[in-house]
Order: sequence, then C-alpha cells, then structure tokens
Amino acid sequence: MKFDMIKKQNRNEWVLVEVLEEDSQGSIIEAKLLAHSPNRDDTYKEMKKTNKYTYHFYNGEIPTKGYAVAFYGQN
Amino acid sequence: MGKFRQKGMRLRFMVKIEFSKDAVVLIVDVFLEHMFTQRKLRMAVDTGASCIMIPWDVALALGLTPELSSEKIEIVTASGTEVAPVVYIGRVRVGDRECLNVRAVVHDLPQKGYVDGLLGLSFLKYFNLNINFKEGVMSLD
Repeated sequence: MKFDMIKKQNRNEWVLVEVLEEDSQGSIIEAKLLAHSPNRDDTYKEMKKTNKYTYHFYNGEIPTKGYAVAFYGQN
Repeated sequence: MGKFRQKGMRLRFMVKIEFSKDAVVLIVDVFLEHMFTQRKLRMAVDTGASCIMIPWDVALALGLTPELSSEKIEIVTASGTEVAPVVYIGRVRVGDRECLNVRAVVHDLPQKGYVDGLLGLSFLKYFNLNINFKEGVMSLD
C-alpha cells in the first residue's frame, strides 16, 4: 500500500509499518500496515514481534494543541 | 529484509530537513540498525542531550540487552532521579549521514511527547549541524 494512504487512514494514532520501498532520500513510498493505536504500548508490542524493517511514528500534530514539550536530564 | 526495495541511488550530500517556522520541536526520522535488525523512528533533535535516548521497547526490538548493561547513567525526570542503562547501537543514520557504534541511553519518554526518542550529542557531535529557524531548515553536513 502507498505510504501516503496509510497516513491518511490512521490520523492521530501511533502507527507501525513494515517498510517495503524507499526513495534515494530515505522517504517511504510503499509500506505494509502492521499496527495502529492511540496507545503507544500497543504498537511497541507489535514492533517487538517482528524482525522486519519497520517505521514507527505518531501520525498527528506534534505537539497537540495546549501542550508544550521539554526534555531534560543530566549526564 | 525480505521485500524491501530502495529506489534510485543513495547519493552523499548535505542532509536538509525542513520544518515549520512555528515548530516547537524539531523532529527527524532516524534509522537504527543493530545486529541486522532495522528500525526507523522519529526523534526530537536535542543538542542539550549528551546521548541519543531510545525507549526500552525499541532497544529490545533492536536485539539490544539494556538489562544486562554494566554502564549506567543518572538522569533527572519529572518524577525524580533515575538510573538508566547505556547501550551501543550498531548503526545510526539520518538522511545519508551515519555513525557506527553510537552510545545511547535507554529510557522511556512520555507518550505525550509524540516522539520515540532524542537525537543527542553522541550522534550530532560528528557533524556540522545548522538550524536556520528563520527559513525553517536544518542541515547536517
């Protein structure tokens, strides 16, 4: 399935696909949907079940309205 | 690898990533490979992070064994101080820029961060990173 179609059909969810075809820039052209869920744990669970080349991403606006993001830590 | 195909030739040139001028997080697709297992994820570019950060589930999906790592790092989170294991990922690539045996800390980011991990200095320090906020372009050379 075309990757754009997968993105259109699974808005605002975590998505896991098997990568079938990329262009020379590394952009995905063809992929197979393996899992989709509003809960990231579900897609991670599926990722651990396969050894295929996968792409995992949140398919929505980042961050959602009303949220700001800060990552912090120390070495 | 199975049915995976790559169209065209992978050319070596400066990697340019466009982002919205209103972006509050710079997000890039990052290719990880370890022991012949390949994963692509979305990470936030974080020049304030000393290491790449990947979640536990992704580390396990790559065949890494963070629970057996003897190297630990102390990290500060919203819920307090935690000790997290350090692993070494065989290959990390952004565009056509790649590094081998890259140090990474294994720690879960909150789901509402909407990224899988952080692209920190253990990868970025090997490149010339330019972020042009006015034009909304990040380049890695």
